[in-house]
Amino acid sequence: MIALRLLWREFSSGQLTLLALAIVVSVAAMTTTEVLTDRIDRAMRSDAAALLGGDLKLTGPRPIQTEWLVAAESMGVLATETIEFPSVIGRGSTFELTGVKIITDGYPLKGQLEISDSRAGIGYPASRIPDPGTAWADPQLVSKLDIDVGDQVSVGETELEITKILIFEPDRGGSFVSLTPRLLMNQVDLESSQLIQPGSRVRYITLFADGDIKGFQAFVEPKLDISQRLSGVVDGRPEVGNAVTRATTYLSLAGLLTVLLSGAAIAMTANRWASDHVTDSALFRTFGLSGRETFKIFATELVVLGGVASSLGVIIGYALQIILIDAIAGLLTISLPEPSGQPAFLGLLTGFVTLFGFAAPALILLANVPPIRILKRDYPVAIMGQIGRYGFALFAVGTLGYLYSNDWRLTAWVLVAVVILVAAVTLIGRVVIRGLSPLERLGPAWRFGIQQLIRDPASSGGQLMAFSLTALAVAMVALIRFDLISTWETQVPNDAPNTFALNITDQDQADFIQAVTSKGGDLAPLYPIVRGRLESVNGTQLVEHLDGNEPPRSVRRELSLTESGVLGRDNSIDRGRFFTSTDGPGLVTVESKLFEELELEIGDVIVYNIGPDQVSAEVVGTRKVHWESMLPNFFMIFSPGTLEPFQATRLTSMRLPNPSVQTAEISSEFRQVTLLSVDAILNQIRDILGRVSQAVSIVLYFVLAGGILVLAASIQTSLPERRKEAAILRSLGGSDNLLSQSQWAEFLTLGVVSGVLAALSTDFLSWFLYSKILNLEWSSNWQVWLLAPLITGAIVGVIGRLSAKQARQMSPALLLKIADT
Amino acid sequence: MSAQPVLHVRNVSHGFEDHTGHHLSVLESLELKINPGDSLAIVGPSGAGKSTLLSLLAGLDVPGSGDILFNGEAFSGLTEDQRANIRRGRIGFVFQSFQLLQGLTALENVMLPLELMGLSVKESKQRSTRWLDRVGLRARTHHRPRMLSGGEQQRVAVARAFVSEPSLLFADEPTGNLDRKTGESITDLLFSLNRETGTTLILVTHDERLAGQCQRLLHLEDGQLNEVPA
Repeated sequence: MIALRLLWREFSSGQLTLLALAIVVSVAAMTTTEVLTDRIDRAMRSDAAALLGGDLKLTGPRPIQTEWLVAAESMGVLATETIEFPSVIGRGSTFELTGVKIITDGYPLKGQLEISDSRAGIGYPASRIPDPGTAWADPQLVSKLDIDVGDQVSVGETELEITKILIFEPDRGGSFVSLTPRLLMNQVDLESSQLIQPGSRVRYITLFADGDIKGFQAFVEPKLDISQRLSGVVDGRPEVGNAVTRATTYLSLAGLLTVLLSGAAIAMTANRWASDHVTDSALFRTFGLSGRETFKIFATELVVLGGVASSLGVIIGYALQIILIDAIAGLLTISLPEPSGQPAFLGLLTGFVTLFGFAAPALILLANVPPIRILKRDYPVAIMGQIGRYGFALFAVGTLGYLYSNDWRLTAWVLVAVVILVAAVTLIGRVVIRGLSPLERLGPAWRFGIQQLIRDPASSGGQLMAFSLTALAVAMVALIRFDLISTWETQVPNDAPNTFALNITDQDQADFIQAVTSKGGDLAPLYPIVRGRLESVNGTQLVEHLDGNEPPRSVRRELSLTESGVLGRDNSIDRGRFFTSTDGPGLVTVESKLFEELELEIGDVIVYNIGPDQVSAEVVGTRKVHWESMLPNFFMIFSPGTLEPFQATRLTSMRLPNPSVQTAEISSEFRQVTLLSVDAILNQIRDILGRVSQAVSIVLYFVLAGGILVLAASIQTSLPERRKEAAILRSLGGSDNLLSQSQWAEFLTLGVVSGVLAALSTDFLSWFLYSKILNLEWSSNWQVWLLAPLITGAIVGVIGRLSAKQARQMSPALLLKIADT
Repeated sequence: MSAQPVLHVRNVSHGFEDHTGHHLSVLESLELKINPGDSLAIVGPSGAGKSTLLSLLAGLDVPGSGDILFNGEAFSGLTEDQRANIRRGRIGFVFQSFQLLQGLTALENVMLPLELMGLSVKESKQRSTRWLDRVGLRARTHHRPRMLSGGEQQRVAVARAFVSEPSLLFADEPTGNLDRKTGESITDLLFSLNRETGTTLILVTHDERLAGQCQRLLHLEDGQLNEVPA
């Protein structure tokens, strides 16, 4: 076939090297990023799933339907059932209300139980569940009942021997969900204990993991009734779920931007390929080939080249990520699962879609070159309009972006940012370049360099586009990486409280503070806690106020209410105001989301039932609460004095130097105080966040490397013109030094202008991502405005000079000969 | 009875609009008959429209009005692809700037039109090698254009033009980019091959010596074409 022969001949002459290289490098970069992000994403989710005990958790008041378990099995999804209910556990004459959890073999599906052999023992991972006839008690229960390993406790109608102390339970809530002491026992003993009776408050929890978990979720979700709840890692454990969601978005974004960068590199080289072949196409037409036949020849060339180069890119991409992971293995604490095959398919597809998305206009142009062009070089060729060309490219990037990110919103907004960048480059960029002429006064080198930019606005505009796009991608990925990591660092600082204390009575308050302080503990303020149920809004019963709609879950039960004159450091006011020192009682601030769910307005008056009494307060503001902060937080905070008439206990959080020992000590001293150690979970979260931080950093370096490749490719495509200019300047007596300096001036200027344009689009895109997707605080970042132009200028300057060196060092005679052909 | 002309130009006028939108007339009511085996030179000052006329004669473009018939078949009214089909294998070209594919060797450049006509690689190679031999470039078969002198590149182009044994050959300033001596050798080559193959040769040139070797000489100026008696 003539097209293949031509392809091979052109390839062996080196004419296709640049295009082939661009495809190989781009596909390799995309494959590497995709394989890596896929592996990191799976590692992260598996880490986070360890905190849920599985990938999915189904909670309900009845045992799970058998057909759901059958469906799970058919989808390869593992399942294990647990049952939780409150019960009184006794030892002699001491009884304690305890959260009993019944488990079966296989629990937990993800993560591990941690146990110790005695009250003061060191924790280690459990390899199995309690044997029949035995149970594991947590330090709180052990302390309340004053028992140790080997003791018997009465559980319903049966007696169980405590064989281990339960230190850590992966799926136990870290905040106030499970404040009661805990007993873990085998399901075999459930019947003999007769713990579950008709009317018992029982929660049946089924954990699921592995297999086609997404398919299973889609199967179950529509079948859930109002009493059942299916949660994944993200909603089930917001402390790490949010971090995982953000990191996933970050990885998607990095993948998307790599596609964009690669697309830009391929577009530039494909355009050069097309312009190199305009005359060839006209020649084919004079030989008698039709437009269709000409198109077929070039299209076949592209398909075959694209296929071979993409396959090579995929192989290199896979090899590269293995080598890179190996190289940094020593630095990694994160263990990654094996790469899957999906990115290979995606890599191939990406190679084709990018090649055709970006080269299609060039291909159509080649098929439409009129034969007369061979005689008249200035005969116009019907080039596809800019909108058409960008349309093709945007469609390609959009399709790929979605494939990579699975997120239409993210893809759409990245495309909008790119359109803004393109518009900015087209409109502002050229004006800026024209406005650079005063720089020509800096000397002859600057004059040549700047004139070069002004003389050929199409070429310099194209390069400006490529450089700005690269700078945007790298700046974006770097910026988010720094902000995410600093957010995670502040989420669980090293001095974060590791123990919560509840039920501190007024008379114990002073002694309790004294006891904690004497043990070296660092105590947060004590919040008074009163339990109450929301009754009405502006005098209207809650159900009527909500037009008969179901009230939010958080107000269907009694809620912990508090009062405080100080806004917590993990709270921020987003509507209205917080209390001032002049405010009296009778005001309230509401958590923002609940405020919306309750359809409240600032100025509304709400009434709470507290026991037989009522309290009313005017809503003055809403608070955005970072629930993942591990600090005590409340839906409703009243102004000081509002809850004074009511009997309250106090709640606080504290940091104890040695929580496992000291909680037991404090607990035995203040028996009515409930202590909840979150040290294990804090460590776990810190660990996960540390790994996620590491992961996003690796991806940043990848995108950075990809960006540099694109810069090099774009400079390479302009080499033929540069050779010609260099030849003319050299033949007219220009020194090597002059050439070198003028290229330096040209590239430096291009780089700086690109950096400024990139900062502009980074501001826009980051504003959107932060406020709409990542839920982070956004502010224009002066570092980006300073660093983007400086770094882009320096990198473009250096790469540009290095790449153009070849053009400088050739003899003018040779250069002119090459330039002429 | 005279033979059917290979090309028949009937009342052809052609022009174009300049950037201000004014119509500029380049060719006005031209009449011309070219018989098989003729050699014909079109001369005239720069900008007179010689290349435009050549492109119309070769069917690379269609005239604004009038008809051009190739072997009795009118180009006007045909689509670009239909005209291309007529050219295939029947019309050859030699250009001022050679127009060789840079990525291909001399041999591959000559093979190209044959391969595009659908001939096998083997046959294309045999015929092309013979033609490279005839233009004196046997030793340069595997050189790429960049490694050849201007004269050698034009010889490759000449071999490429003749290899499909066209009945009509157009040459646009074939010596325009060559020094005098090289130009002369290309001229000699072109005419000797023209005699050997019986091809109709139509060329546009400034080169008087080249024009002088043609059987017919036409002068194009101010849109008018006048035959200069030999």
